[in-house]
Parts: sequence; C-alpha cells; structure tokens
Amino acid sequence: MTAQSAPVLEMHELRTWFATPEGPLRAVDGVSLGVEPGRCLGVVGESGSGKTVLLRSIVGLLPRRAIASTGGTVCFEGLELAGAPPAVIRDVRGRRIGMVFQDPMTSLNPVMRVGTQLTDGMRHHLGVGRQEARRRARALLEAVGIPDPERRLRDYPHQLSGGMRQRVTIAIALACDPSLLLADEPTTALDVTVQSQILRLLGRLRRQRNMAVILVTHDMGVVAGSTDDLAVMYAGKVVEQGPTATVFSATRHPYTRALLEAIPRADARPGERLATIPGQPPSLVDPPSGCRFAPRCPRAADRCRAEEPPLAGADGHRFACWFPLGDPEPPAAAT
Amino acid sequence: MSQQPDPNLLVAAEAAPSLPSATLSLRASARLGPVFWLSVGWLALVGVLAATASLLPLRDPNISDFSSLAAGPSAHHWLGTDAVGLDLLSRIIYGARVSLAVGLFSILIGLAVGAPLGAVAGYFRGKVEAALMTVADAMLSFPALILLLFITAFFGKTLVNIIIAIAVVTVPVFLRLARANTLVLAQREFVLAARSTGASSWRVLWREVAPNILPSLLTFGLLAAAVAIVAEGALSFMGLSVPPQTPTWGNIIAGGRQEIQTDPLIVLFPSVAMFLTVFALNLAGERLRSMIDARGGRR
Amino acid sequence: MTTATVEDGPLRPGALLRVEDVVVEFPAPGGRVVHAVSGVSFDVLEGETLGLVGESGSGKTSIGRAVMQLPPPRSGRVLLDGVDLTTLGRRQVRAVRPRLQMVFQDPLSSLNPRRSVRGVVGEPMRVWNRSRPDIDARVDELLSAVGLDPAAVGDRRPSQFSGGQCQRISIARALVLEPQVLVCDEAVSSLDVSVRAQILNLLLDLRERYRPTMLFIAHDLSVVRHISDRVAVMYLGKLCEIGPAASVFGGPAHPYTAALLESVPVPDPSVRPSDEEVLDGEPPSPVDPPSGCRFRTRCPRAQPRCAEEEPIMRAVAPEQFVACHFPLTAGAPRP
Repeated sequence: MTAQSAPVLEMHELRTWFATPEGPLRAVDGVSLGVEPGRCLGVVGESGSGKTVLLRSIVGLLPRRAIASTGGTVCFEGLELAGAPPAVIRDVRGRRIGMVFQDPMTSLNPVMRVGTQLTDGMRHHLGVGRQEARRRARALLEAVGIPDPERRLRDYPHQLSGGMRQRVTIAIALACDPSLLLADEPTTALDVTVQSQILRLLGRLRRQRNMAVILVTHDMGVVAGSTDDLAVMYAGKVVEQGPTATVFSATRHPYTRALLEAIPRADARPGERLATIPGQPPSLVDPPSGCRFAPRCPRAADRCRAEEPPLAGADGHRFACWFPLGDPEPPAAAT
Repeated sequence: MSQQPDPNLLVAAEAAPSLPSATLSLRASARLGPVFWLSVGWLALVGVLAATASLLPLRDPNISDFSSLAAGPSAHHWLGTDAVGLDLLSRIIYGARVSLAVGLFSILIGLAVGAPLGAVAGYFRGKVEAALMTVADAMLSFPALILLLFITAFFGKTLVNIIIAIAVVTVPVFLRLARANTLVLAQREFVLAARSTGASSWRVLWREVAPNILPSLLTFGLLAAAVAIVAEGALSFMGLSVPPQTPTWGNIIAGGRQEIQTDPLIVLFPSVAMFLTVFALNLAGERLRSMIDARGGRR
Repeated sequence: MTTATVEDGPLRPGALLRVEDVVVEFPAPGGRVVHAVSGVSFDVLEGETLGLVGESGSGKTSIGRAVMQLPPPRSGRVLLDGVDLTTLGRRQVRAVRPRLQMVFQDPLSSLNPRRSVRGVVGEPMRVWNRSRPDIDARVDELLSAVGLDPAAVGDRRPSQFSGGQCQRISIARALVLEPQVLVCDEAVSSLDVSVRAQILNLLLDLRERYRPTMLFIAHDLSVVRHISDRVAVMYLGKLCEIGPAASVFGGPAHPYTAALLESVPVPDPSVRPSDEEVLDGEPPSPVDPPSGCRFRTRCPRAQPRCAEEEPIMRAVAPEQFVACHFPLTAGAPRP
C-alpha cells in the first residue's frame, strides 16, 4: 500500500476562504493530500464539505473576486501552482491536467462541433497540425468507446446522448495526454447503467495511461468501486484518509461511519430505520471550536469541543479524531 | 460601487456547489446601495414638490412677469424666466405633475390590463394564449407614434387621453412579460402542488403565480415609466400633448427652443429635470431587478 | 391484447389505487410524439408502498402525474377506490384531489418563496375553507410530526431552510389533508446522504402514524428497496417487472432489472466491479421506441422473437410478474 513513485500532485495545507459580508467562509481549510501516477484518489463528502472547491483550487478555477484569502502549496510535477501567474496555470490546465465536470451538457460548447472542441486544445497546447489533430481526435473518441468516430466529430453536442457527451468531455480532457485527471462528480447526472459504463471507462483509461485521477463524489458506492485511496471531507477539512479498503473496513472517524450507515443496506429488515447524523453541518463562517464534527458526534467529549484533533495515524491511514472508533469510548462521553 | 455585490461574482459563487446556499442568499439580499437610495430620494423630492405645488410659495406658472423676460436666475426667479416672463421654477414643478402623472398612471393602467391577461395566457396556454398573443403582437407591430396621434387627434389633447394612449402602448409589453414569467412559474412544483390540493385555476393564479410575478413586473414598470415620461416629453415638444400653455417639461423645452442660442438655460433646466427623473427611474429599476434576480434563484 | 394484459396481469381485486393500461404521450418537435408511458397497469393495496424505479425517460414521473390527473393520461383508467378518475368532470376531479397528494424532488421549487411556512402548509386546508382554528391546530400537529418546531419555523420563508428542512415542509403540506394516497416523486433524490436518511426515516415514521398508501417513485434502487413493499421496474414507457421487493431484488426475472441491480455501485471495496460491461449503450429515444420488447436493443438475451412480439406480463413466481419472453428464472426457457 506504500507509494511506489513520487506523487504527481501534492497539496500541503491548502486553504481557500471566500469573502462574505459576515466574514471569511472557510470552504477549504488546510487540506493536505497527494496522488501518485496510475492511482485514483477519491474525495467524498456532502454538499458544503469543500470537495468541489478543493478541486477547483488546485487549478485556479475559482472567481478571483470571490476569494478572501488562500494559502498552502500545490506542487504538480515539481511546479508550484499556488500563487503561480495565471498564464502558467492556464498552460498546465488542459495540457498536463485534464478536467471532467458533472454536467456534460454545460461543459461542452453547444455551438461548436465535437471535432473542433477536441482538436482546439491539442493545436493550442501541443502545436500539432490540423490533420494530425484530426487523426488523434478520432483515436481518442475510439478510446472512450464512441462508435463511428468520424461521424461524431462532425456532430454538435446536442446530437449526442448524455453518456456520449460525458465520453466526449473525457476525450477532451485526455486530448493532451495529461498526467492528472480531475473529475468532479462525473457520473452524478447520468443514469445508473450509464454511470457504471463511465466509471469502468475512467478506470481503464487510468490504467492504460498510468494517469493519476482525483475523483470527487458524494456517493460512497462510487468511491468503493473506483478508487485506491480515499479522503473524507467534512466542513472544509479532511477528517479521514487512507487506502479505500482500509477506510471502509477499519473506519476510525465517527463521521465516516455515519456516512456509511446512512446508506440503506441490502440486508436491512423492511422498514428498518437508518442511522442518521443529528443536526446540520456547521457554518463555515463561524465554525465550532475544536473538532468541527463535535456538535453532531455521538462520541464527543469536552476535549473535542476545545481542541482541534490533528490528522494523524499510521500506515497511510490518518484520521482527525481524539477518540477514534476502535479505541475505548471517551471517559466523559455524552449519554 | 465596490460594496455592491457583483452579479457575476454571485453566479460564479453559485457555480461552486459546495458553498452553503444560506450564505449566498444573504449576500444576494444585501443592501440596495447608495445609488438606489439617491434615485429614490430624487423621485420622492420631485413627487412631493409636484403634489404640493399649489401649497408652495411659488409664482403662478401662467402669469407673466413682464419686468423680467427671458431673464437668468435671480432672487425673484430662482431659475429665471422664459421669453414671455413666466417663472421657470414654478413651471418646472407644475410640469412635473404632468410628467409624473403620465409616468405613474399610464404604467399602472398598462400593468393592470396587461399583467392579468399575460398571466392567463401563460397559465392556461392553448387557444386563449394564441388569441391574446396575436392581439399583443399586432399592437406591438403598429407604430406607437401613429397610435398616439390617432388617439389625441380624435379624442382631444387632454391629460387623460395622453395617459390612456401611452397605456395602450404598454399593455402588450406587460402582457408579454407577465406571460413569460408565468410560463416559467407554472412549471415550478409549488404550482403543481397547489393544483394537486384541488385549488381552482383562478386561485392558483392569484395566490401562487401573481405574488411571484408581481415584483419583476413592478420593477419593469419603473423602467417603463421612464420611457413613458420621455414619450410624453416628446409629444409635448411636438405639440401633440396637452395644450402648450399648460406647463409640462416638453412644453417648456418646446417654448424655449427659439431662444436656445441666446438663453440656453430655458431649455436646460427642464431638460435636466427630465433627465434626472428618467435616470433615477432607470437606476432604481435596474438595482431592484438585479436584486430580484439574485434572490429568486430560479431554476 | 391490452385488455388481456389487465386480466392476466398482476392486478388484484380490492386495491385502493388501480392503474389500468395508462398511456401518456407528449407532442415533440416536428409533429412527432413522445411515447412517455405506453400501456402500464399496476395496483396498490391500502396501506401498501409500491416503489416505481426506472432511469430517466422510463416514464415513471409521467405515471405519477397521470395518477394525480396532472394532466390526466391520454388513455387508460386510474381507479381510486373503484372510481375512475379519468371519467370525472373538472369539478369532481378537484373534489377528489385532496385524497391524492404529492411530494416532489426539488425541495426549494416545491415551496412558494413568497409565503411563510405556516402559509404553505395550511394552504391546502384554506382551499377547502376549513376554519382558522382547525387549520392552525392541524398545521402545528404536522409541523411537529415532520420534526419542525411550529413556533420557531412557522413565520419564516422557505429560502431560510436547508434542502432537508424544505422537504419536511413539503411532506407536512402533502399530509395536511389526510390523503389516502401519497405520491413521492424522487422525494429524496436531491438530498445529501445523511439528510436523505433522515427523510427516509421520517417517511417510515409517518407511514406508521398516518398509514397512507404510497407510490414511491425513484431512480435509486437502494432507497426503493428500503421503503417499498412491492416494486415495479419501468423501462422506456413500459413495465418490465413487478412484484414483492424481496423477490424482485433478490431474484430479478427481467434482464433489465438484473442489469440495473448490477450497475448500482456497492459501498464495499471488497466487491470490485468486474471489468465487463453490465449493459451496453443507452436507452433509445421514447419518440421512436423499438418494436416488440423495448429493451431488446440492449438486452444480452434478445432473440428474433423479441423484435416481433411484445412480451405480456406473466407470473414467474407468486405475485412476481415479468414482461419478458426469456426471463431469468430457473425453469424458464433459455434462448
């Protein structure tokens, strides 16, 4: 489970705060993660956990005026992206880092042919000629499983089905042979049978190209089947991270377990009540002191409300909890 | 300007789905800003002056002071007099009555007739919609100026007729706007929920649709009032509105145009009054509109 | 043939809600027709919950609307307590409406933004001219029943609430008239996992307390399995399979049901999805559905017969019915 090669991307204490009239909103608040070539890192969390903002922070895709402050480092293939000039980030984005978003309809330009959208990036970033770009585009469409690529190159996005469109956005993301693919809920807008096709495709492409993938999703089922490593986010912080299998089988953070238990299980008795998390996620403008999950945590003790737990652990499995699962209950646990 | 929430920024922030929506709505409903309140202040000032004109210590707008013809501003005549010695300040304030009455009442009539018809067209669809939209399109295609000419020519140049003429022109505009808004709203699930309780169509229109289309219609009304005031000014200027001796901003400008080279102030003062009023209406309407858009969060 | 479906099919005597051979069609651009629902029959016994699953374009939402008579179906019958709603006049339909209520997918869009919570929940009673004290008492009762404090939330606007809270308000409104049938159209689909669990638990609690008959429409199989007594699976406007939840999920007879179940990502990393595609392609357009069995274009078991002859509903197990020439059950003919 140890990394064989240097990470493609390594973030350290990444921080993105948004400006609001009430004060800074700590959307991403000190996240350190990395991903190695050929591996898939899953980032899972509920809405407001900061997972999408995290992904966009890596490639500087957030409105500058909305940001109150940023911090930390993002090292991509030896290049520091945090605070780099926009021109540098633009060059990396699309060429060395590909991106796939949730809604394939809005991430494709509706008035441009598929072929043009596919070849534009190649010609701009790689400087290849029209013929060569065209040839590569056909090969890419084949690689993402689109039949009759020659005809599809001349199509407009609205002529394609939802699954085909997502395949096209994946092809565009792969056009310049990136070493890192950022996928933000790539299958959330798709039907379940198409979702399984797209997830399989992403896995196959990753292995063929030895590409690193960061997959952001809210679906524990998707991360279980498609990722090697997993980071669970809550209220702008990573609360647990490690090899996916370990996080699932030896869950240490109470929030991770709550997320897993909230999913209806196949073997549940009819009408059985699901485990739920009481209350609401905290305000990110004025987060609770100590552990941010403490107000909703069944195991919270005084220490949790006073001191923030560090993300620590062994063998690559880290968790931010004073009284992790598997350890004895805290002495002053709430009833 | 820097304190205003930038609409682009809000859209961008909304595009980042991980931001808590509560914060966004707070931001969207942030203050209307000083520009809005300055505009409202000006409109209120003009309104109060126009309403209380007869109570104010103003000179009679129709009695000439032959001792000062086409005179510049003085202690006697704060804004000076026109070519026949009429007090400009008094005439501009009395003129505001006409302009504001036209702006207010023509738009209210247009709204009162157009909005319900538009809501009905958008909600019931089908033949009702087809018929109403055909009529509205025909009215929009007919040159407005000729329509106004007809009405004043056949029914006389009275203030009421001018108001009605302009109202007729605005009816199809409100109708279209109300229909478009209703079409979107009728798809919203709370309208479906209301229908599923067994509420009658009229009840749904009145209680669910109307309160949601009214804010944007009223906001548009502010912008339309600005257009109506300019239109009345233009009609007055061409002598097609109320008789020239009645003080209106258009009439004063028309009366002053012969002396524009020697006494430009006669044209300037009413023009400035009209400009500021129209500008204030536009600014206030625009601010309200962007606030409603940000708040509505329509999907 | 259509009447044969009704007679031989899964309809049971004495059902509270009975949908017979319902057809829903919409006009499409170019004078064509979207065949949203093409002859679907099922029933729901009093107090029972029927889960209706299918992917986008399956017609499940159209069925829900047809049951509500919003709008009435193009043809077929919808019987509530033996009364055919499709034959009633406008006024009579209005009078019946309180007995059928609906909860929608989009929590915010379901609530009039310009009305207070109290106004939203009480409105259905106001439509029927109930007295003010009655309304106040009933609204208080239901807000408490859905877990909201009437005194604290009553005067606030929907925009001040989270998605889960809005859905609670919607549920309270749907129950205020004591409906016999509650149609939930993707009522938990847009919610976060932990909130979804809360709302599912709430629905289970309310079902025990108010005993509504439920039509639970969703694309999420784990949710449907959790809440339903019986399950109906739809594909491209047709019913594929219907039966007790345990039978349909435990031993799917229709190849589509089986593929759907296999496509659902399992939240367990030890169950790695196979590299083999569960199901190729995407559903065809409902404007031009395939002849015979509508699933045959994607079905791994399809035979020439499937293109020529439309399969009718027949029993494969007690109370389990399937519309397939070659169902996946022991003893059935193999292609």
